[in-house]
Amino acid sequence: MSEPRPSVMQFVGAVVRAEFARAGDAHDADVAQRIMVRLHGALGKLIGPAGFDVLVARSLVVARRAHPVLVGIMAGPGGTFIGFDKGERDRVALQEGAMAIVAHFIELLVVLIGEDLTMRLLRDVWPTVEEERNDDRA
Amino acid sequence: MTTERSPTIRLLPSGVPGLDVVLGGGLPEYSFNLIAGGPGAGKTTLAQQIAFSRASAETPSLYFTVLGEPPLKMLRHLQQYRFFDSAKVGGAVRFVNLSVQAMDHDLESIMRSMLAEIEEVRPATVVVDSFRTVAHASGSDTQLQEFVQRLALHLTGWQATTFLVGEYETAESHSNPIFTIADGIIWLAQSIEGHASVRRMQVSKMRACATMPGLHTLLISSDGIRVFPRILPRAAPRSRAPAGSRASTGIESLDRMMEGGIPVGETALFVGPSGSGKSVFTRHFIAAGAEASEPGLIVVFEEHPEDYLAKTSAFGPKLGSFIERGLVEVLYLRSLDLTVDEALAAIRMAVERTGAQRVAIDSLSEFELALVPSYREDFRQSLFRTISALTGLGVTVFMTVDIVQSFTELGLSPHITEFLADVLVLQRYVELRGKLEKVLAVVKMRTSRHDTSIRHYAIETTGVVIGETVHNQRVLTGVPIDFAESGVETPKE
Repeated sequence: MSEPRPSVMQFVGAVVRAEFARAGDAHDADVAQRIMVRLHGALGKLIGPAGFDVLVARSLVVARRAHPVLVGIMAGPGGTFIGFDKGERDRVALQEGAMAIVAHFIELLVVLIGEDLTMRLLRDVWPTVEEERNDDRA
Repeated sequence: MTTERSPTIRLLPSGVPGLDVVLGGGLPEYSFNLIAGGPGAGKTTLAQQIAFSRASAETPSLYFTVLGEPPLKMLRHLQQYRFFDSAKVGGAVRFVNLSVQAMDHDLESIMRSMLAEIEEVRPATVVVDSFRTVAHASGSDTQLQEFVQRLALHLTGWQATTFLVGEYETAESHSNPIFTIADGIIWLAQSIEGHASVRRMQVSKMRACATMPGLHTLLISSDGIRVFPRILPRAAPRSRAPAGSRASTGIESLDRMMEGGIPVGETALFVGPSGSGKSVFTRHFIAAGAEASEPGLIVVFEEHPEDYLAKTSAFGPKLGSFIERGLVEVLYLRSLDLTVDEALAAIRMAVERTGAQRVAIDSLSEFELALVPSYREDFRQSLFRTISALTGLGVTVFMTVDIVQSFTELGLSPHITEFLADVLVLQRYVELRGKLEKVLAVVKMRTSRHDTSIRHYAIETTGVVIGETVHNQRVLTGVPIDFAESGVETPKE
């Protein structure tokens, strides 16, 4: 699987900023987990819980290649992860790894169902993010 | 008994071209329907097309996916169709996957999930795809019957028009309770005929609707499904030409033989062996119309329009300038899997689009060859429908057909198609004084007198040149006799 395209990275960046704004001083890994849970809420019905879990598992495997800090972390049900809080892990590396999972998940969706539909579905979860992206582009 | 207080069953446009004609007007509102058939027949595409077409913010569609095609793949495939609208996904069209409940074989859980979604979305259209997998979750026929009955009741209560999609065989229709409960049953089938693949549709049941019986061809393209009803409603005729009007053949002497030409709105069939100039006659007819500003359409099957025009341009009128001016169009209908219904629809659409007043089918022999084998068996019937549809519009139809010339019988056309024509012109090769010559005769004109003489004709660069009457010769029998020289008594005029 190729690296997430720039438009996906840009979207993920905007989503992370939006979630940080909502969550206050939460860590990146927590924010990433919250993003995945929200994605599950939005997409679980559409693609089915099993379909969602398969995409998360694949995203985790792909993200782990570039982010070894993710080794030992497992995908749980409903967009959750098991193991973020276990063991001594480099915080910065963990934050990057967590964001990579989100980015790969969205990239996988884009590859399978196209960017238009993916962004259409994600806009329902983060309605203001697209405006923020457009502002960034301007 | 209907009274003023009887409910009116609204018929909803399905959004599937041709389907509403087959249904007798549209989908009955709040009906509970089954879309049944084998794999690859187009069931899911049909359901999706209806769901997207019917969906709006006020009348959302709720699409339950169960076990079968994974939803991600379904969404991927669905986007290949033009009816797909990503703006509707998640809003006007909601997809809900029920695979977990189905895998648990828990009908009660499936029902709860469905009802919760229905309550939340308040859909006008509901699809369950595939219902067969829901049925597998039931332990017995009684359980399934009860489930279907409850589902039908709930969906009627919620004023939803429903489609259950499933892989069923026709034999099941006698024993499966779904077939009893459903208001409407739409069967789809795909079959291989010769080397061709044909999809067909049958509406075997649709309560409160006067549906069109029989099998109807359907086509799946990037536009989605298009149904070709077996019988097309008669189109409103255009403004009729005055009684007795003639469409010139473009050959003055032939017009004189026909007392002015082909009666407008009638059908002429030119029958002749290979090389006898049928395509030249065709171009005379179309060019004569174009010169009088009557749009014309030539339907060809074997050769590409450019090749057809190039090949025939050495003789007779040139059509290039008429084509450039939009007065003439050449419609190419060669397809490996062509069905009569598709051909008819394509011709009819082209006639409507171009406003053609003259249509030439060159030739029926190639038309027949282009058809799926099973349609060849019904060629005459299909041809009759084609011609009726065209003449119903007031179009004058000109057709050619190849015939293998026999000198032992006077064959007028293969498959006895001549009875379909109002005007019949026979072209023949004859051997006269050591030369192969061409002759023609107007064999019949249903609504007019005509010259019955057999005339010489030749194909020159300018086109058809009709010559003298063949005198003192018996040329059609295969045993030419020169009455003047043989001593045989000349038949009386």
